[in-house]
Amino acid sequence: MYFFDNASTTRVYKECAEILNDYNLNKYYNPSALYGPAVEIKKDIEKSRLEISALIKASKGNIIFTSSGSEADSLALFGLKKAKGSRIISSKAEHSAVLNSVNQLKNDDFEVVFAETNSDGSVNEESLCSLIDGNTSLVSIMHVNSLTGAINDISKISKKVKEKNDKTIFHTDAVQSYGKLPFRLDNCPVDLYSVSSHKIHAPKGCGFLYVANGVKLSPIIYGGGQEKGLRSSTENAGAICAFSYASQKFFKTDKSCIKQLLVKTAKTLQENIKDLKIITDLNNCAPHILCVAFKNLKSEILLHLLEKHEILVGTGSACNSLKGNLRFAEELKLGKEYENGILRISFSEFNNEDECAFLCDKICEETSVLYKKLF
Amino acid sequence: MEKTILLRFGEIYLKGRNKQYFEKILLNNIKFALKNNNFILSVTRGRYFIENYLSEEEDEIIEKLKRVIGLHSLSRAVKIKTDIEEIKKASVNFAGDTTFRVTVKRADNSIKISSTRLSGEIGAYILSQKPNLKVDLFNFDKEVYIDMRENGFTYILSDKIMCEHGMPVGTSGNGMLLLSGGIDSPVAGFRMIKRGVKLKAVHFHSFPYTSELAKQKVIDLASILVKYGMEIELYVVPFTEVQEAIHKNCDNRFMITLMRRIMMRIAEILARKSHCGAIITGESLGQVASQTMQSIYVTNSVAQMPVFRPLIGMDKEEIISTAKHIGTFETSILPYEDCCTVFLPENPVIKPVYEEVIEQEKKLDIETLIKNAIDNTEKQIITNNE
Repeated sequence: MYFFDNASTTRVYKECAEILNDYNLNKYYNPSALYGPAVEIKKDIEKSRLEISALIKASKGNIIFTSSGSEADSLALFGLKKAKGSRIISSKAEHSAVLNSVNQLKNDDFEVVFAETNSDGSVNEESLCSLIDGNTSLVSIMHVNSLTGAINDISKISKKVKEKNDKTIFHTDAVQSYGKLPFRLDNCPVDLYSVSSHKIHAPKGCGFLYVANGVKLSPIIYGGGQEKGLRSSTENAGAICAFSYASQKFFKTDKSCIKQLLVKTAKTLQENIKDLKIITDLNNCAPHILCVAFKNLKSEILLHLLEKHEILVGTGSACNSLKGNLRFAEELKLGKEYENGILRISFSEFNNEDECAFLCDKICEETSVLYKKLF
Repeated sequence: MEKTILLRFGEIYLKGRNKQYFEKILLNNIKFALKNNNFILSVTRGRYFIENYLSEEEDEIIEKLKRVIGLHSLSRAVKIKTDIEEIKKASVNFAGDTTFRVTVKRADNSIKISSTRLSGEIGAYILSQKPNLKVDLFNFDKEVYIDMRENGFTYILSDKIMCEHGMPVGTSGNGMLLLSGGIDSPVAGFRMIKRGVKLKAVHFHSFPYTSELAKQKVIDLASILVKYGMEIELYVVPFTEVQEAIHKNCDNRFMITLMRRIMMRIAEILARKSHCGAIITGESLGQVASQTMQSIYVTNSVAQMPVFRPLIGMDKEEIISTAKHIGTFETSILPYEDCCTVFLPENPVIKPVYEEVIEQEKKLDIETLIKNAIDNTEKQIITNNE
């Protein structure tokens, strides 16, 4: 298989699979139990927490392990104590984990407003700042757009938000940026920061929410009081330790190679396919996501045609329904003839130049056949 | 005292000398519906009883029986030896909390008290045990129905639970349903199941223009229909080549009409092969371009077999309400496209003229297209595994 859907999920590092296996078969004790082997597991979890904290310089807050990025987003948005009726600002380019949560908050009588989106999928900072008022309790803006790879300068944006209202809490969904962009939490006023494990070659079923000191959260899951009472559930020790291992390995990996694959693919496609739109701004994007749009073509057809060559690509965030994609296409103001044609090609360190050349070949070949058939 | 479920059948009451044939199929269908439960099915004149089942499975069994087409209604009941004192005691639990009446039906002639007097006596006993209740012969909340059979047993019945009525599946032959992924066609299939038709289904698949998920959706819909219809043979016909050929060679405005005519021909071939006597579609007059009277005329004219269109006079709301009732609605509205919109013209012909369509069709090698489609058709059997 030629896997080019690494923004949806990634192949797990072999070592992570082994770690998980070890915890499932040998170190399966409940970390909250009082006997020695269980206490050792608890220590493993705390060690992982420290290791991850060190990677993102999280000294001004705590890391709460969750089951996923979506759960971390939900804990941030629903768990945050905020005044009823206050204003919540987000953007329509957000992942559905955030978008559907803020829409739910709208039903709960919060005033939810959305900042405008730029044509590469990033948030329009001016529009965002103009929305912040004295009544704004929360701003949630993703770090890297999951469809286009566009980067929002979270350091800068969080500072601007605090300048306008220092009581506003700033949340970012960092699922697509964690480990992929250099970032540290100790030099910017980000209060809540969500991450998922399986986007960086760790197993699925783990994530975390960073919570800055002083930010008041209530749990959304009640039970035994694990994770400082914010996330009751028996800790998934194996997944947490594998996540920490993957983080350390992934942070050290050179991302410029991945970016080179992306740029080369973009250029090859642009040179060979007439009317192709490169949505991703190659000068301001994450190293792994390339988003393009074909004119008058449903990208899902292309996805199925590539599948026959064992090439797997995405047509958008897998968590989004097809309708969600269309909504986002409108947001990007692509024009009607492009809005069904969005294809997301996303890379990882497991891809190489030969694979990318094969991918480009097949995309060019299949689109040319398809255009001939259809027009 | 033993729990039982009493079943009443509906329309086959009206049958004459061939009633046995219908009853035999209905009884088989009941056994098929409950194939994963332990029970004994006993038959007396005009009534069936489900007995000797695990009491914790009673709700599950009732849900399954409600979907057996041909049953009119059922009631939870208890079976006791005919003994007036025992009957009185057991009746108390059936009287509810407000108003009730007692109805006695006495087929057992060894009991010498009249039914009316028995009703009165049992009613009085219930009142003595539950003084807060009231008897109301006309506006009652619960009817305590006491059926004293010839065999020395008495059944006390609680409220009637209505079933789907209709004719037992299989008594009207086989029908080939054109099953898309939409709301209408599963409902059309259900309506015909209710007329005793055993369904087969054909789905036209346009990979890569539609996804595997669209095909899975159709399988899921068929899996819901088999809860009523026993078993469905599903034929998945590759349709891409046909669509591409029409697109390449014909006036695109006729796309839908030409597609429908070819679908109809393929459906008929498969129907004949699999011993069906009719084709079934979910068309509802005027709903979309392909369902105007003129369109239906042009597509219908290729079929030799009767084409049943049970939804023809129903509006969308009625169709949706049935789709919700049978449980297909939620699956039907999933966003995977069933018939590729890539080829659909902006302005399809709404009132196609027969001669014009024939002219367009001459540009296609229909025989080869149909042969290729049929040769590559996949068949799968969808069964009810509940």
